[in-house]
Amino acid sequence: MSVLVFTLMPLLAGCSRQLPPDDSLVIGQVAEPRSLDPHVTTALNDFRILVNLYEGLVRYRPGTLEPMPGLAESWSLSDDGRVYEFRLRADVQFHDGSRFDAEAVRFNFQRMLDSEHPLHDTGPFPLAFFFEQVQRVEVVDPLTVRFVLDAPFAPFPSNLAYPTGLMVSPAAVRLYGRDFGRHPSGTGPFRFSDWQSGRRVTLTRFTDYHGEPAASRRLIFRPITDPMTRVAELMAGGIDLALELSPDNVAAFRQRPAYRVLEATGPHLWFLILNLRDGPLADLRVRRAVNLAIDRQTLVHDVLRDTAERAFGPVPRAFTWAVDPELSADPSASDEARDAQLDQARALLAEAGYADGLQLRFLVPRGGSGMLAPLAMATAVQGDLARVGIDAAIDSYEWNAYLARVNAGLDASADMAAMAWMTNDPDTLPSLALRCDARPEEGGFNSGYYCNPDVDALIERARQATDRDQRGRLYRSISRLVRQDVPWVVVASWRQNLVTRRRVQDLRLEPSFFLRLDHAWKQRGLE
Amino acid sequence: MTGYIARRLLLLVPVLFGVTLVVFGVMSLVPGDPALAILGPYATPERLADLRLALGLDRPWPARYLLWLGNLAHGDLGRSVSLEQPVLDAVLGRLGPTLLLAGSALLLGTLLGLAAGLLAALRHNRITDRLVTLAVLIGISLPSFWLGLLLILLFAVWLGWLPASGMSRVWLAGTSLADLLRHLLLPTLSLALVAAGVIGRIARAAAIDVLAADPIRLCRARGIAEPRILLVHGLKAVLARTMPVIGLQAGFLIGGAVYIETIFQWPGLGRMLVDAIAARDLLLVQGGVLLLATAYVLVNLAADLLQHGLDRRTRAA
Repeated sequence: MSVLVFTLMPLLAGCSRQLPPDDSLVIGQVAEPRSLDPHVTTALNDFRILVNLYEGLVRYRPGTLEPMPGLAESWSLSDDGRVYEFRLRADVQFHDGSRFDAEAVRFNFQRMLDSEHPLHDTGPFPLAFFFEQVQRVEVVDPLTVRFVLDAPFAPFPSNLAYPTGLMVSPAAVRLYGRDFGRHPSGTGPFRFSDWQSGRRVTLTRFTDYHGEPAASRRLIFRPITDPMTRVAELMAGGIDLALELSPDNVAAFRQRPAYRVLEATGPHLWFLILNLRDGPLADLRVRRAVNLAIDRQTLVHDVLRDTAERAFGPVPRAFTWAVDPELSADPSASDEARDAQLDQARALLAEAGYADGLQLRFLVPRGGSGMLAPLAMATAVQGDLARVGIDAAIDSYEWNAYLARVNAGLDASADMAAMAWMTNDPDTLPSLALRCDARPEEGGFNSGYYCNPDVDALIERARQATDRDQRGRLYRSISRLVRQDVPWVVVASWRQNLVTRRRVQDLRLEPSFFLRLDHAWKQRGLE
Repeated sequence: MTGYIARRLLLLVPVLFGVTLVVFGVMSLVPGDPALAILGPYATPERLADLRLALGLDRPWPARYLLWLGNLAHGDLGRSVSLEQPVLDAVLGRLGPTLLLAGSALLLGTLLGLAAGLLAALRHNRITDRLVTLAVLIGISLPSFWLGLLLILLFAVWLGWLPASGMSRVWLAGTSLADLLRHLLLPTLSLALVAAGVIGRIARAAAIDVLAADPIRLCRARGIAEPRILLVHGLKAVLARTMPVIGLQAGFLIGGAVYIETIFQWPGLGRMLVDAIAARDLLLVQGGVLLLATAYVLVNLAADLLQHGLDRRTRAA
């Protein structure tokens, strides 16, 4: 052993901490990216790289989920709500030197949407349906592009701000074909340098950027799948910022002055889908009892250590303009109120004929995108339900197998199932998962078979309304109806976290959970 | 001898056939598929069907397996859907780091194990023997991933002497040998200590037997010092008995590297396989398993041949 120690000494000698240089930000990501082609990938992990490489016609206004001009200077909408016309910036070029113009915009959408397009085989494009309302894209002049839709579709600008709407360089796609995802070229503040599998993706400042140049010279994204290793790397100084740490670790970093914890609550919902077709939950009284029995405050504060916020309706609170402030007040703030709620739940169960209790089967994934800490949360829910005499048996599945089971619709052997969604418009969840026509058999996500024609009519009106205030009112009405019917127990919205070393400056987290790093920089030598 | 090697190499064919068939079958039968992994919550039956068609997943798995075999004959391992690149590129890029890690762990584990075993045998039934045996027991019992985390905490977080993870400093364009060694040290140690425990126990038992054998007793009668006897005359015999275990450990290290690669973010095959299984990336799993199984069989063949050689030489001596 001593021999070993002596041979290792020269290696260790003089080994002070080796830290990344001041002009480079090293980001600890949660996984290896799948592709850097924004139309091909669906992973949030990849989006965080993509928003630094590419830009779309519109983007979210910082700190909000509202579309604002991006590569388009302005846009107009026809009176019938079907034709959008975008005026493009004149000074934009792609990283490969080719020009960004209306023809490039048309190429981007045709590649995704037109199966006859010569480069459609560089897909598949799993989220192309975000633009399925687009009938055709017309080049009016080099700086004007027109989208003609089948029918009015209010979420269209929000969908354009999503990474599926980022603009890729047609020349680079033609050059690399299917390998474009490994040779990306966009118009963003950073350009692609290299991708070493399992090690890093490096981006460098794009010197010909049309806007304010990026503050840091280089971004290095490291895939670090193990959350403990992300923590260790952050503490050892190997990375400057770490994403998605566990609730316990975030709580620990809050106590340490050398680190900064950033948080932003996203347009995310964690909810329980209730089976309205079969079993005891077909009875509204039982659904109400379940909803009353669950203690969101404990879930969010104790189980998730405040890495999520309580949520109540089908529209996430991040869409401030579409949420009813009354609906997001928690009725169980005090202990007395909580006890009263539990009594109310027991009374409802007794009225429904379950005074002696009942058994429910509760499906839960063991992990999965946006699912937070599903097993710990499910166990807490189980405990809450036990207090009103409901015996919930947890059935847990691996994520992929789980999606296959739940997305096919809840059958008689499943009473409720945990689910989580990241959305990009208030329309997303209600229209994909609450409409009568959105049953799994018809290609939707209404796995609990909820159906209320009034809700459907409101969803349709909200999709067609182009005035935001009017849309907001409609979504508030939808939320109220859904809250009465309780097809879901909406529990929480994920508060994304990012921990940085204190010297990292001018970084903010967006509710979209994307991570634009063009302003972020590191203070020199300060450790 | 050449005939023997040729026979063993030929045996690779049915082994790999069996392994890939089982992997393909199991991966196809577990619920979930790559289309589902890609679409996630957006996976409607209709979109799934479209994507499955685009990915060629609509055919039954035996047909897809035959297609895969046919392409394999042309050296085509297919395209990975989770990494959007040819499987061959993906696995070849990851094989080197895995072999480097498993190889250095095997080397270090063997050296440490042999040293511990010989030392214990020379001090048979004395306090050193007990201490070494205890240390070896601890080595066998420690889960390597837990040991890995402790090593990171001590050397990277507290002392700051070594990097916590990765294979090189990511902010440098290339890598130097010293940088590579610094990154290699902790993962190698975490893996090697477990292997050293197993090898040490076998080496100790073998060395005790060797020391009791007639030729050695003769040496001792001639007044040659015991450590010298063991190192000069007995080592080959000890090695010959330990070699099959070392071969098996090589397989264990290649497999055990999965955890260590994840904890240390080593860009190897094991870590890639874990991700590929979660993404149901069948072709990538097939490619990775094919390489690992081949490496496993070849390493064991090499160990058998070495043992064969050593045995002959002991007999000749």
